[in-house]
Amino acid sequence: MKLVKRGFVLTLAVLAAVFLLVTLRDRRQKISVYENRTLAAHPAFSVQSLWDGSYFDGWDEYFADHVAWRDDLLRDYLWLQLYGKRQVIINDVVITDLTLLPNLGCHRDDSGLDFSVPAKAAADRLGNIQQAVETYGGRFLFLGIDEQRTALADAYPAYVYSRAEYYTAVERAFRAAAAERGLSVLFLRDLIQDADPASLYSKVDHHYNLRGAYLAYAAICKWSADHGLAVTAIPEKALGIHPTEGMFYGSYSRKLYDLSPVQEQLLVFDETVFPPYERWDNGEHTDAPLLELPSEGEPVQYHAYMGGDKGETVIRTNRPELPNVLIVGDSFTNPVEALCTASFNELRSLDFRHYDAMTLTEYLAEYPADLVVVIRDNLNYIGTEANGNLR
Amino acid sequence: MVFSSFSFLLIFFPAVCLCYFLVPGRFRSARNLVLLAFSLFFYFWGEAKGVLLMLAVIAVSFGSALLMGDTTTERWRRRLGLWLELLVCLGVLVYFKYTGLLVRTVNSLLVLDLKVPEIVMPIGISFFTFQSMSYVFDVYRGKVPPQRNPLHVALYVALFPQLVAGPIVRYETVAEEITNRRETPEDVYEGLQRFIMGFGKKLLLANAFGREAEEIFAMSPAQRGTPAAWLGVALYGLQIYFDFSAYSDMAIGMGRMFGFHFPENFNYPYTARSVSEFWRRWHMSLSTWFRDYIYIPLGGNRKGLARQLLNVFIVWALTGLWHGASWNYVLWGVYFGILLMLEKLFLGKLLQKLPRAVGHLYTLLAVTLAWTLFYFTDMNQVAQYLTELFRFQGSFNHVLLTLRQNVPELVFGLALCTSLPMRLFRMSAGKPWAELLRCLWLLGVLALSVLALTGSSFNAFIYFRF
Repeated sequence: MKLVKRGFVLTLAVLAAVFLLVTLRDRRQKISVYENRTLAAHPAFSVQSLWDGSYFDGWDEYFADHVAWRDDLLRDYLWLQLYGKRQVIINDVVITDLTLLPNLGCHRDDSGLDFSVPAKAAADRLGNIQQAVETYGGRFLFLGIDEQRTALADAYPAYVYSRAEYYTAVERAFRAAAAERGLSVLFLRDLIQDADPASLYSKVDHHYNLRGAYLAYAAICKWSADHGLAVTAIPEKALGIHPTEGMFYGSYSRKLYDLSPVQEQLLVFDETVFPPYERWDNGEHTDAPLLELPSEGEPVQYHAYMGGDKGETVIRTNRPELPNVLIVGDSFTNPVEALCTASFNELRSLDFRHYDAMTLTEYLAEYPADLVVVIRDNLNYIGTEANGNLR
Repeated sequence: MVFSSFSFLLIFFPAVCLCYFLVPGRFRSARNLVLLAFSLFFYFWGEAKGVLLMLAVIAVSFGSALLMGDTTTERWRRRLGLWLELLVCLGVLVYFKYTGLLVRTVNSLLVLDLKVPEIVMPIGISFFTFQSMSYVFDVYRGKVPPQRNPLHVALYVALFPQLVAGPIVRYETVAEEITNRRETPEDVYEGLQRFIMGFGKKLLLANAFGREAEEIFAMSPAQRGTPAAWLGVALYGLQIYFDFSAYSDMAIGMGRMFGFHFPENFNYPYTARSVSEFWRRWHMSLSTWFRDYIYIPLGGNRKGLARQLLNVFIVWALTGLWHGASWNYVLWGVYFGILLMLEKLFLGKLLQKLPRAVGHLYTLLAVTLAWTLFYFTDMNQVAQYLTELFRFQGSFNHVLLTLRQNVPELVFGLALCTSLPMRLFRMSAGKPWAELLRCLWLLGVLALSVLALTGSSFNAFIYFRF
């Protein structure tokens, strides 16, 4: 008995000592890749910080962030939640057999919601842009895209809140307002009713996959052709769509480290089928490719398409017989921009989350594109910030 | 500094153990000095400004007790010492804890617009003032002689294991141990085990129940519905129990390692068959403090039924007020006071005649409803929540999700609310294989708790903003 007791105390003492020594020794890690954030730094000493308590709070944060083997411990804890407790929601990610989805919080009654006022305002803002484009002889198109959580909403377990009623109400109001305002609109869902959404959307990220993006691109090309522009879509087969070697590190799967039970590889295209081009990002000439893949063994992220979100991108293919296009929107535009390079002479893209040099109308006055496409996902149809506040 | 942090676990606790046990046991004063220095640093870490206040309270308590001397001292000196202690301790408590409540109450009663001062309440003020008063009361009642060494009084009040969350240790309980105690390997072993149990209860159970309860309380009434409302308040009851009893376990465990034997603070309160029994099992150090220092001096049950009921009412209003500077706490205390009075009058006898299950159900229901009063400081919210509990509408979706997410926590939590695990343990006590199993179990609990503590620091950012 004595042996057991002494062994227990000794084991704990040794464990504590090793843990402490490794914690104090290992100070190299400055960022947490999994959490996408900087780890807490040493607190700066001052009499004020000592007196108001922030100095010691800083040490609490520091030790919490720099404890020995922290990444391994976090991964083990996650493994326990995933495979030990079989939790449905971990780190705000809903885990289903089919896909990962965002946790949207607690259930609420969304019946009877009326978004007609903000929807009308959104349609009016877009209508003003359409009017400005049509005034100089261009074409305007609003392309609405389902975000992953709504496209795959059926995968939510019945007892997990999917916010479906809310998003439906928003879309219903926006469609009505757009029709009333006479907007040129396309909703991707209407064009792919027969397709299985699971084949068009990522299972580990909130975006569509390259096949979904291709359908958006093809819809833009067809609409352009129908409206008198000499645009043809490159056939899907010609793009040589294939999965990357490394695993896709999506916005949801990254929160589950590399333990996600749902894994996926990013679909990419064969860049050699694209015409030669020159590219400028935020006014700077660049040799960046349309597809920026990480080195071998590294996880692949959505920002492989076009190198991620940029305020302004300009791509010139020097084919004056083709029209010029301006695409406005957030990250959903990235793979579409890459694909449009194949079908347009000059491609410009603006993301007003990162671009504030000019308003859209001022930009159009300077660069009157033949076609202006605004791409929005259905979570943001009535949003009023950045790309939702086009002027 | 909280016990459930890496700063405590990795730095403070190993450091205090190392420094303490490096000093040979025969140098008792030096060991006490080590404990006192670390205790003051522990408090300084969390409440730098509060250290001076705590030291002032300790100094006054030391002086008051000296002024009182022993039972042969003149009566006026003894009374002066007592009043000085009461004036300072209650003055400090009222100023730092209750000024805001007093001003707000005066404003609303007299329709005034007095500025409510923003006074930061030092951590653990309710505990260290009550412990200080306990010392002086015990000297006043002649239970213990006044302590001549101020460091011993300081150590009694500031001893870090019980400083910020109890149990409220009575001076007479540890007076002897401060100067004359023996730390044995058995104490260290038992103390460590108790600490780990508390650590696990806090990290693995209390925090999990707390997260879920918070989520439910944060819902709008329309979102919540009756099933989730009941689940929320029940989980909150579990959170409070496991949180508070976990801190007590850790305090008792650490105290034991250093040779102190603190009183038990919880005794499976949710298995009680009446509210009176619940309060004999819940936060026992506070209940006995109020019983010995307020209820009995007021006359207790020695002056007739009417006076007894009044005494119960006063004690429970004060108990409520001790828990927080808000009227909902007073109402919470009064609610229990009324139930206790009813049990004294007739309900207690009735419950004894009924099947045991009725008593358990009644107690659980009464206590669970009381947690609503305890959580919401706004009386409108209390009324709204209580209405939701009995409106009988809403879906079971959130209940299903919460249960699905917390199966092990609920199974272990409910089991630990009963004495069953401890009975199983006692049945096998003394057998080496059982001891080995127990050690392995506790190492597992510690490992899981460290994982949970690390997991609580996970803080993902969706966008790249390093």
